[in-house]
Amino acid sequence: MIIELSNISKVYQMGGNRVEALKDLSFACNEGEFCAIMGPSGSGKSTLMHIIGCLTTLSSGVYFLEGRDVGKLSKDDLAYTRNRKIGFVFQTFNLLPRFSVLSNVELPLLYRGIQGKERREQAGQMLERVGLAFRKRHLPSQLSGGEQQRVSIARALVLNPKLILADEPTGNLDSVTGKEIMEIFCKLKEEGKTIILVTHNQENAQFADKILTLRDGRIE
Amino acid sequence: MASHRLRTSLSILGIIIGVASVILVGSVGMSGKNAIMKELEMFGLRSLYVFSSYKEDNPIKRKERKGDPITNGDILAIPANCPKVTSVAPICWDWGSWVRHRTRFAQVRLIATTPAISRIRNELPEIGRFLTEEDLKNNRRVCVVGRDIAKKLFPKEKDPIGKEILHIGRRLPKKTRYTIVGVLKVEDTPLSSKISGMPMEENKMFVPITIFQRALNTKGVDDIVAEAILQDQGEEAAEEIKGFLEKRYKGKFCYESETMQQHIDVTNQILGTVAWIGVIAAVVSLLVGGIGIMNVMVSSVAERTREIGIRKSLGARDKDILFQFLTEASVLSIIGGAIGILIGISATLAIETISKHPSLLSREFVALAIFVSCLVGILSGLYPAIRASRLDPIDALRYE
Ligand SMILES: Nc1ncnc2c1ncn2[C@@H]1O[C@H](COP(=O)(O)OP(=O)(O)O)[C@@H](O)[C@H]1O
Ligand SMILES: [Mg+2]
Repeated sequence: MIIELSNISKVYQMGGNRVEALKDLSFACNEGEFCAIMGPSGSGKSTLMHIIGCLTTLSSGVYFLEGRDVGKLSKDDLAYTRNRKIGFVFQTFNLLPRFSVLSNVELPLLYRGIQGKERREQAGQMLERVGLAFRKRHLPSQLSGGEQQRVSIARALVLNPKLILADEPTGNLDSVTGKEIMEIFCKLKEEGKTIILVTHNQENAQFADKILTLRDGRIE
Repeated sequence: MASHRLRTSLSILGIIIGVASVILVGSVGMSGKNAIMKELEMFGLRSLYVFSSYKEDNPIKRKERKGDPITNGDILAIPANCPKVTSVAPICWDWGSWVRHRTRFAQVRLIATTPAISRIRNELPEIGRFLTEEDLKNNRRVCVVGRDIAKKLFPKEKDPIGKEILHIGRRLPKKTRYTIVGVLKVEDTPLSSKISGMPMEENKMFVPITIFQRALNTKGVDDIVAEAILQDQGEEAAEEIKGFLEKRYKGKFCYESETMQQHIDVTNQILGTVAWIGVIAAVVSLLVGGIGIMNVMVSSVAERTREIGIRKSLGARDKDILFQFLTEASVLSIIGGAIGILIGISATLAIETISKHPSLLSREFVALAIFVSCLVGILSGLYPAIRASRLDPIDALRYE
């Protein structure tokens, strides 16, 4: 089990408003598995992804990642985990607008402590793999949506993490480009990566080994 | 984005002004002091005046106060009786008198004295020579004149040595012919005369005191110019001379003194005050610059919250974010500091050129400015940097 969530819940407290985004949810995922998460908007999919991606904390329950209790990790250990073990792909790409494509892909390598020249080499190789080497010097805004998402995938993969988390990666793309992106994820599965993909698209979900459907913070 | 750039430029400007003024004010204030000290040195830092004065409360009646308060005999006796005095020269004045050469006139301040004054007061000839003991012994009618006088009387000649001029005195009853043997060096010292409001006098004319005393048939002396053994003993040497004279005349006359030390003290006080006002102004403007940088960094953190979230999601630790924002604040203040240093140095050099006072630039103040601008940058970046580094990654990512 690479991921093991037991009876987790997540409560957002905003002023007087209390939103229980996830309710007593349990979920597990084996290494190498491709898992799709579906469900209507507001059902808690992104919240679940953020928890798995160590970007936010649990309100209750336990989360084991590769057998380690994430709740007991220090802030620096969490940063280390995000850096080495997880590659996160966002719906909105989340590229730094003022940095070149290459610099964006270099970021995880920077926080890994890899020096300039090697960083550029590795980031360049990764961009070649997603077919964007010729866009290295461009700014993200000069790229199409599909290209931007490929850059963000390159960034997620550049440190060769075991776990790829993708939160509606095709949500902002047209169906043709969306298919191209999905092809990349299928290839990654063949390479043995563990993939968790949030999607609204039944077609995309068919590639998955298992499908998880959320409704109101619970598994349906 | 544009407003951010404007804020950034303004806060850099604050640092620039602050740093430049620290250098400028510091250099001009502190080194200006040195320049003025050097100027005072030209007059002889150890030199002092003693002269007689009338006091209302002198117990001795006016009638009994006949005779000269200072005479040639006193001058001769001073070195043996005043151990803190190295040399001494008598002076007799004829202020506001005139000299003439053919049709040209010049107003002069006639100073009848001995050669010793040359060393005490740093009165050095530019061309020719100063008065000598032989001139006095032989009652030679020779004079050493200031450059202005030489220029007025002999506008075309380079070398007026050997020329005869006619002195028309006010105290001296007779017109007397003198031969010029020397022209005084002109020191370009506008700084202290500007500060003190006193114009530099270049209309001095030195003549042997023997000529003067013979013309008036007196052994009396107006002032004593003397030199103390050590620089800070001017006051004590003056007290010795006054004490000696009062004792010698059994309190019949009163004496006053003026020392370079007094001038130095006043100068130091004025310049010190000026320098402090400037330094305070400079520090205030540095602080304003610092607050500006802090403001820029705070809004930069707000504008870049998403960036912080992205970086954290990719594995940036709190200290990585902290370091990034501290670096940015430091870069801002180093840019401002560097420009400020350049401006401060060039302004100081410009003032140096205009005022003709070399080496005004103070290395200490350049170092201080560099140090303060770095400090301001780091301190002003610290608060926003800490705030940025503590953000929760997902809160930062969701920030609109
Ligand atoms: N940071 C937050 N603060 C308050 N409420 C939130 C926050 N994030 C998500 N929510 C709420 O939690 C619920 C689940 O949101 P989310 O996980 O984004 O759902 P999904 O990704 O499935 O659309 C929603 O009702 C949403 O409004
Ligand atoms: Mg979502």
